[in-house]
Amino acid sequence: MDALTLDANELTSQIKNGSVSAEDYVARILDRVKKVENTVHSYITLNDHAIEEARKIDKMVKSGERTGRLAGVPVAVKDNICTRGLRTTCASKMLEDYVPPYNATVIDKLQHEGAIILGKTNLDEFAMGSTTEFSNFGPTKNPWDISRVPGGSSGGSAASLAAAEATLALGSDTGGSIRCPASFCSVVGLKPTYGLVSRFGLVSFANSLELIGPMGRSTDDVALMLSCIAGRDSMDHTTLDVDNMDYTSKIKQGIKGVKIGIVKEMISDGVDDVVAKTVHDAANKLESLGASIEEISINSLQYALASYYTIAMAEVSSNLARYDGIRYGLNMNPEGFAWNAYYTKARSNFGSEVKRRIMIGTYVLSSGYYGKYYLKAQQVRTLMRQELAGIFKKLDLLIAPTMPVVPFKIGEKIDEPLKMYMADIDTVIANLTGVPAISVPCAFKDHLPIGLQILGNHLSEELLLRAAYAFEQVNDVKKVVDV
Amino acid sequence: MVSKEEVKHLAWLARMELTDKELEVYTKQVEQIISYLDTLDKISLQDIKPLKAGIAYTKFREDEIVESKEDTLSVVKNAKDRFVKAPKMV
Repeated sequence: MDALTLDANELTSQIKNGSVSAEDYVARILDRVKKVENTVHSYITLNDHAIEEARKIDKMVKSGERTGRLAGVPVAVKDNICTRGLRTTCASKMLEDYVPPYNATVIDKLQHEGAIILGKTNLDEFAMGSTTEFSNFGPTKNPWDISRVPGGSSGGSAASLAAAEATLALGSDTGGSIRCPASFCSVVGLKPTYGLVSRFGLVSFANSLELIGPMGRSTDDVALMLSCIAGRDSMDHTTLDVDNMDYTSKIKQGIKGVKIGIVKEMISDGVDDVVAKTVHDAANKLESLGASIEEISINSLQYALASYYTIAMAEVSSNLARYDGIRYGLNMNPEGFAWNAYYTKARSNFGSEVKRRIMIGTYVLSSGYYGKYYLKAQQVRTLMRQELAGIFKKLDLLIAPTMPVVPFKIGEKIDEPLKMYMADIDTVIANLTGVPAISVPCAFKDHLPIGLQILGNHLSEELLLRAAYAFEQVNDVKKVVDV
Repeated sequence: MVSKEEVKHLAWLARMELTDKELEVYTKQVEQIISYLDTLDKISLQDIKPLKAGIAYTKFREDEIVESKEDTLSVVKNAKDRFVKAPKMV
């Protein structure tokens, strides 16, 4: 198993010095995938050309050509990120056999660095969910306990890392969808600052909240991947003026003198006792590394979930209007259908969670309700930003649990949408305000993973990764399991 | 508070067909969720500016045409020549 779980850094240097063949490594990972997929179900589609692409890397290494920072590294990509020629379904019937004619910018960037796209991972349909149970292709299981959820919506990506079915992964995070599965699967997942990574090619769900982010089994790996995918993109006008970032160079500098706040509201009501204690223990560890810890309160947090879901659902109802069954996806011949009859029938192919969110989004945006919900939600957003800006004037980082609970059983919350939404309580603030947040494996309750969440101010990824790295060095927990 | 009629109307606005059973289940769930969103009623935010984006997007690029290299029609299932087949407008 050790050979299959090499760090990206280690793997790529061994490939570059010829001691490991990329083709051989990719083949072995694919063997592993074959072995465990019936149990875990991380993937929806595998890349038939992966071995061929890895072979090319080996050739380039032999002939001394530039191969890139991720040469030969097998990467799992969440199936809501477009990959040219490789089916991209968003785990939905609506895009069941959609093959994008273009690459998302992040995919171009990864391929430019020599990464091998191994396949497309399972998610909640259109990234709407916290457990990967809402996939049209069936749920992904948590490799640590296959009767439990891996988290979501990037559950497939997180599970692929924990089950050694990939070295790195891409996820997307709208309200916690990278961090939640990272926490539930004991891997590292980062939601970058809004605008740091291009969303071109990410199938829209809630475009003012979502972002693509790196996932891996170590902070080092996540930092490397982030360095490869971050940066301004002319195809996405919401990207920031940032280029050529290297998040690995200062990662070992430690956190002496760093001022950290532990968020009171996130470790009290409704949080599992063991989870809360774990965060306190983590705080002590961080203190022993030279950081100072104090308890702080974020007053506007009480409105965070209501604000998040109002905005997210409103944007969903708008963004999913494009699925008319005519231009892409669903094959339903319009012959014989009247205008409205066609659309209502075609669009009935959305799953239940998607339908729910579209209807609520439609409700909050209807005339008469706009001021009551959507406008208020956007005002709460301003309030949160102001409050956080004030906090970050005095403190450098914040810590909290990523999830208030440990992974629960598959099927446990699926019939109670509101209960499901409550699980996002600790993660949505980062999306509402655009600040970066990372989840790092912290501890286990019995055999179930608990993640520590660290948040920073806008564009503070370097500090965030430094803190996560420092914590990792004094807090060794398992990141991979033989399913 | 949210009636079956309202949910039926929402489904219509979003052009989605619902079965009777679905209508029943969704009405309950939508009502519950909207009740929760009513939390937003608790705050009066008269003086706060609604935030739509984190930064002001004021820089515009030149309106240059860049030809797309991809064949975007390749994904259309029911096409004829360069046209996309659509249902008949009544």
